[in-house]
Amino acid sequence: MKRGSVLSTLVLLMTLLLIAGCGGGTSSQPPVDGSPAAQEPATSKEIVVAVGVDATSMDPAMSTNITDKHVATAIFDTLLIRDNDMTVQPNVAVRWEAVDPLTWEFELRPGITFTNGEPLNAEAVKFTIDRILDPDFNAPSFAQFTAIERVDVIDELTVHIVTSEPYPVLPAVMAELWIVPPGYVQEVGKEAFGQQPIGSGPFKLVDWVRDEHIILEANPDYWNGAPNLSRVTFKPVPEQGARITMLQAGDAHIVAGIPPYMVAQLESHPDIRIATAPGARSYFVGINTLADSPLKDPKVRQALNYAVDVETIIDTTLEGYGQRLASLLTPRQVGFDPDLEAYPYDPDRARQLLAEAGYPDGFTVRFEAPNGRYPMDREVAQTIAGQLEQIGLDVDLQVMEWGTYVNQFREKPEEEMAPLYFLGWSIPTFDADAILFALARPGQTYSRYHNPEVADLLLEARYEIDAERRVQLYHEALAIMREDAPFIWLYQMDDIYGIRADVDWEPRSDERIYLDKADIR
Amino acid sequence: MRLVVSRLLDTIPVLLGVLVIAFVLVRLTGDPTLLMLPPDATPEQIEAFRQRMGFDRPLAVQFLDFVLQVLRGDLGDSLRFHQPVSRLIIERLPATLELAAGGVIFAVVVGVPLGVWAAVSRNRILNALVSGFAYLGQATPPFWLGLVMMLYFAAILQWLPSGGRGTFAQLIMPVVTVGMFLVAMIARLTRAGMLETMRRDYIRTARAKGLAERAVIYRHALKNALIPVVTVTGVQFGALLGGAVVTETIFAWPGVGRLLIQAIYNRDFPLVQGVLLVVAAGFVLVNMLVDLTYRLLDPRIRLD
Repeated sequence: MKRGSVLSTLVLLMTLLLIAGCGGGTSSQPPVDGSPAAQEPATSKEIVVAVGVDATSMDPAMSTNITDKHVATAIFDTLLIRDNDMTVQPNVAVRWEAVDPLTWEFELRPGITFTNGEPLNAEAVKFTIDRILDPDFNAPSFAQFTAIERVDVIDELTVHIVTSEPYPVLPAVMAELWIVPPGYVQEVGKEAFGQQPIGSGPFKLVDWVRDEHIILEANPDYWNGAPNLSRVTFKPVPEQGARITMLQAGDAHIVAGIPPYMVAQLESHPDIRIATAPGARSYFVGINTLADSPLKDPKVRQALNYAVDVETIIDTTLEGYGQRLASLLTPRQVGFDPDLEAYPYDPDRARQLLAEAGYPDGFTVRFEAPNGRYPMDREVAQTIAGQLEQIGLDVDLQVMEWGTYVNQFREKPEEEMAPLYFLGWSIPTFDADAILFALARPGQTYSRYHNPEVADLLLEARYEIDAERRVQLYHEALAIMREDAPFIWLYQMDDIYGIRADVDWEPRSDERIYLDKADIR
Repeated sequence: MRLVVSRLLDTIPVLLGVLVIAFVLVRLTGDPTLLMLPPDATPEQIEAFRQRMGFDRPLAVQFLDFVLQVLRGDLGDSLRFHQPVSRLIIERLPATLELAAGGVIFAVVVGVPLGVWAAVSRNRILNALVSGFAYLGQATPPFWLGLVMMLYFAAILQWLPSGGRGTFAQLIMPVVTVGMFLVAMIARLTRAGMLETMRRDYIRTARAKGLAERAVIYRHALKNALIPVVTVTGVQFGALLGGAVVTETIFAWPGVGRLLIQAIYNRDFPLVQGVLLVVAAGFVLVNMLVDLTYRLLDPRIRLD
């Protein structure tokens, strides 16, 4: 350290670190964003989807977050599929029927192969389901499959799925069953399969660099027609503002979860269009009807429903991007009752009901809500708290991080659970069973309501194979619940997407991004 | 050498403390069962899941298991990613090092000359400008600076990519975002140090010897003025090893900070513990290097 300046040594050291950093991490992939698309030949059609989170696993049986499901949708095929109205349609299976109340027969489309050449046959379907049912496998979707007792291979293209009880939701569950290649999965093992998946779907995985990108390329031999797009990139960008900037800069083509207040600004951009789909999530305030409190009285709970001005919340906080719900179900769910009437906003009636119940001066109530879990969750909770105070309640609103919030449902005994709690509930099966069974029957994690009549109806509906009769049972249950008012029913939101104007793609109610028919001009 | 060894031994209780804190804190808010299972899972399924994952065992047993595992050099598997924690961290370390080193280089290259300039210049306006800039730089929140730069340079002018990692262009905005705070801090410290040193007798002697002003400033004065700068730079570099969470989030930079935040949100116990341990070790190591650098700058400083 005679004459050389310390400064230059320091800079040299840092530069070395920097070079080491660059050398270690930069993959040999061509940059997929930022730089002009000129590197690719003119015929290539590629789009970038900016998503909030990276995938956790590409093994579809292990998928937990929405990006996992986007990727599974691109790489794999489901046994059945939902159309844009969320009705279950044939896909890999061309035909299905309940041959008896416990046995479902599926006939598979001939000639489908995985991209490694393995045939997609009855054996593959059996393998895929057996894998999820294996308790040691720890599949997050395990709960939906527990009704399945076994899978029988009848011949190359016919399987029987046998359930332990009648299970009318089975076809809906099969629209979530991404079929995996048995030979490849057994060869590479669970962990490697989650990193290097092989499926039969419209796209193939090219490269996954964590938190950087997931690059997929078209499967030209896809049985349902080669995709128009040659390449699809999912880019995890956690910050919403950054995703929107990417859309504006043309670095991303599809961005989900546009907040309502950003719509006007994006619509004024010449290269961006806004598209919406009615969301699958039902938002409500749960009421703890089991603890010893004024909320035990149905009159009080009805009062709460009269006190909340849902239409105004939709018009102001959600800027109109939502629809009022009269029950826990959204219109596209099996069991939905279009004739059920939502509680109107009537604060006078609310005050009157409170007085009749013996609380003319109101009471103090704790209201818990998550922060950042759902769009505008904190704002909506604050508005509801304010409206409840209008009828004389003293609301102690507590807003908390999702992980902390959700853990209370398991950890706290019923009487300590929040008297009022805000939740948004989405069910991939689009069937009343999952949401009503979990929320309106005693002993379930998130349920704080018990009416024996409703509980029996829900149990009966769960096992009713006759579709019409089943819907009827749900209508009966919903009507009783309306009077019991164990929830403050709120709304469903529209899912708002920002899309580059040259991209031909429309959003769906199940939040999935199917890209096999998408195109870019 | 003995010094290095004894310093390394000193770090053991620190790291043990980190282990305990990481282990306890992340568990205080509950386990990830409900976050990982679908909402309609029954209470029985939830209990079965907790048993399989070992969350139902006493905390002390879980902790002992964890410590033994770490001693074997195994950080465990991530609950969410179903992969070894060590691999997940190693995948992201290059990006974090790149951003931290880039930010520090940017800060030193801009901040030190700025500070010297402000100290030796007799122009009061210039002096005030540099000081003003320094305060502004320290007061600007990184998320604001990052978003404004992104809006301007990526969305409006479209000169720079809005995020991601791989090219030099993608490095610019994140580096400026993490570095700006440090530029301001270094400029202020350098200026203060220079003003202090320039009054010393040995500087007068150097000038009296007839040395050129440049040589006086850069060879004699700056070296002594730099000691606090090195301290701060070292500490900040160490802190950046934990990931510049905000910057990484805004610019979709795949670094350790984002990994840690996700791990916390997911209650991914092994991943939180692993990241904290590695980051703490890095921080301790950098601080040790800073201590050793003092001796190079000023041999009068003894460390033993």
